[in-house]
Amino acid sequence: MHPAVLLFGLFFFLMFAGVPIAASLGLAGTLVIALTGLGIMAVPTNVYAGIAKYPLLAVPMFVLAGAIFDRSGVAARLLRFTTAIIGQGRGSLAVITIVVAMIIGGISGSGPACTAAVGGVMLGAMMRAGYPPGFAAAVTAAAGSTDILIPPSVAFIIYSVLVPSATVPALFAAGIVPGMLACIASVFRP
Amino acid sequence: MAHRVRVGATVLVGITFLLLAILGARMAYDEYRYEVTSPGLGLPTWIYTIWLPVLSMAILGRVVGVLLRLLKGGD
Repeated sequence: MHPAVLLFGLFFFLMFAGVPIAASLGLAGTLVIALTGLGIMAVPTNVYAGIAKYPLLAVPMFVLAGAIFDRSGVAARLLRFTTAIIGQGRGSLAVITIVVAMIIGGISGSGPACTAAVGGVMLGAMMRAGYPPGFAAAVTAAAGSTDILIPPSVAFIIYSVLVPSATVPALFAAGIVPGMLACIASVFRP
Repeated sequence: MAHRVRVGATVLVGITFLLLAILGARMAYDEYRYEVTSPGLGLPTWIYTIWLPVLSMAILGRVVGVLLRLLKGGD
């Protein structure tokens, strides 16, 4: 059997059998490297080279920044600021959530960290105002996930690590307008 | 049946990280043996590569824990 057939066949078989994708990739690759005698020491070298990248140092710092916004009260102040802009009307809390998430997305780069920071402040407020829990959670999650488009963004950094011809500044510049459009579209979604 | 498949998948994840730990330890030992130093600071590079096998063993420990819980019948 051709090694490539074995490689892809084993990977798809393992993946559909419920083995986590990373383990399926690793196991199929290791087996094919061992069978074809390509040099088994290429496996740890490639795994190490895949992890040891300097731009990835930014990721835990962005998550930390999100946690700090949440705990130090910066998120709560942003909430007051946004409330002053938007005002208090029907459905205003949902709009405020999206705008706060947009501002935090411009400071922190991690979507999950932003969702955690915004959710920590806004979920309680929306519940007290009588929003349905499912709607409140959906608005927070959607607003947080649009933030990976607004620079700085961990996803862009990781993409730039994987594709060296796409530089981080170019990706950030390309993300501003789509990110704001996504947030505006979330606000005016019926 | 589904339970058996899940046990098998967990065992395969364990094998992956066991392989990674063994091969990573070999890579780190090679760099220790040949006294490879980093180009900038001149530090021995095994203090960086040693973490691949060590953390693979930590993941292996978690996999073993999941496997024991699966075998005990809990979910």
